[in-house]
Amino acid sequence: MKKFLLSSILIAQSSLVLAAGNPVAVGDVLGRDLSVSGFGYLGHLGVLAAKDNVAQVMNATPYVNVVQNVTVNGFKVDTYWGAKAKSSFTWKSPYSSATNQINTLSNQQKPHVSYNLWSSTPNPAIQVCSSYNSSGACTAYTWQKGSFRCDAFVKWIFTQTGNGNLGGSLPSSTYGSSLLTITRT
Amino acid sequence: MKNSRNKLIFVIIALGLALVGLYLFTNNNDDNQVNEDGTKSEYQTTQQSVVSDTSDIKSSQELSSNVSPPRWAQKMLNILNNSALPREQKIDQLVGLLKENNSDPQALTDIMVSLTALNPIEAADEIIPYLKNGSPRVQSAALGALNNASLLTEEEHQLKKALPQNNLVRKRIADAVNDLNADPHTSDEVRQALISTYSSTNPSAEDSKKMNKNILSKDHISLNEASYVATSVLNGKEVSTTLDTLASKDKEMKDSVISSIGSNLLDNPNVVSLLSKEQRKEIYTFISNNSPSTTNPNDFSYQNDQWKNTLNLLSNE
Repeated sequence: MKKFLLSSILIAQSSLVLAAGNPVAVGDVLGRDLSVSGFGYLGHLGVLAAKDNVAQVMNATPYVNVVQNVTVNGFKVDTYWGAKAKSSFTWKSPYSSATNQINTLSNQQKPHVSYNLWSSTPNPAIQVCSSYNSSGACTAYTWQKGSFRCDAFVKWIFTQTGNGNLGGSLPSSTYGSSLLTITRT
Repeated sequence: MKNSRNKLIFVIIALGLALVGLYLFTNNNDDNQVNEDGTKSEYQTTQQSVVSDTSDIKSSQELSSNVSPPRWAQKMLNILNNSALPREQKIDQLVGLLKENNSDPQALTDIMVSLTALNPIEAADEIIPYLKNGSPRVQSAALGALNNASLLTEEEHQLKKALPQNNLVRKRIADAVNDLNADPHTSDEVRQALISTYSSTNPSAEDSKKMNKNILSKDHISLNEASYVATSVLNGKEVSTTLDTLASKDKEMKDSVISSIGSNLLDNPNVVSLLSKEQRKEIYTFISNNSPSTTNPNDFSYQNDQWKNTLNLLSNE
């Protein structure tokens, strides 16, 4: 009887392990465990920007290295949840591929964003008018600093590339978005 | 026979458990509102509303019910989520919270990030001392808060001019940032954060010239430095000098600056209107003569995309 019970549990666990597959296409969302000091369990998300290249946001020096790119193995530094995907990941004109748009967005934001542990809402850096001439025309633009948490960044990449709002208020609930219908195995 | 039936029952239960587990794992989603929003144009306004900034932070209210934040964080969330508090009072209370947590770098960094979203010009004098904090992250976060504190206020956007009393505050910010820049003990990472904020905190022609000269004297530049040079060029500052100097640099440095010019332009095509016809032609010619050189296929593909898109945007009348 005990053997059967053990087998049952093993089958159940192996189903989850099987579900933790590698990402296969640009736009796949990767998830893993993450605990944060002073916060507790949070979880962590990233998005596949190119083959073996994951764009992610981490708690690092503001306006320097909060937006990062790591390998898939580099992402799996704690218990890996797996990768999930939208049925068709798109990108916007004038970019010629999803990789190109994600890379441009990541590099554009990197010098201008900090990490915000306490908000799941994307707050991207934007360019704002910083001076006007006597006729009221803008004469200079500068960057208004923004902030992201990992899930907020992935949500922002999805909306900017025209792939909809993943929703969710924590990495786990964003990872469970109804838009992500494909689980990589 | 009975034994076989038991086996079958257990296998069915196991599969059932696996399916339930998988379902819970993939559908732990209590508030997925799938809306198509966040289009690029929404982020391109020249007069970002402070009201919309604070509403962004309101989402943190969802978070507080799911975790047990430390006392300072709970206080911070209470301030941010209190819709009865006007922006000025939120800034005032967050500054009070900064002072209460002077010995906690994580608290200082996170509170500073919250202040940043409020464009806290009123708190500039309270934030400036944190540029000398012992933690590079606190220093960098303070630079970000001062970056947004230097931006034009809602009132100034409406009037379409900077107010003298605010310019006095901006001058104090610029002086403090220059002191930090001149300090030989300033760490490399703080210096990078400083460069990313310098076009906002130190927009004067004199400071821009010095910073550009300093960056362009190097053989290799960071993404932050490339972004600074790009912002400067697109604002029509030091265009000829910068492009002439860049012409003598290696392809990697040219690629980096051209890529940043592309990022800025794609985010805000309006910036082209700041350039004179001659400046636009000068930048166009420089970019046109320097197609991406990287041998990494991914980097080449995205830099080539940017290169072509940038030329298109610059050629549009």
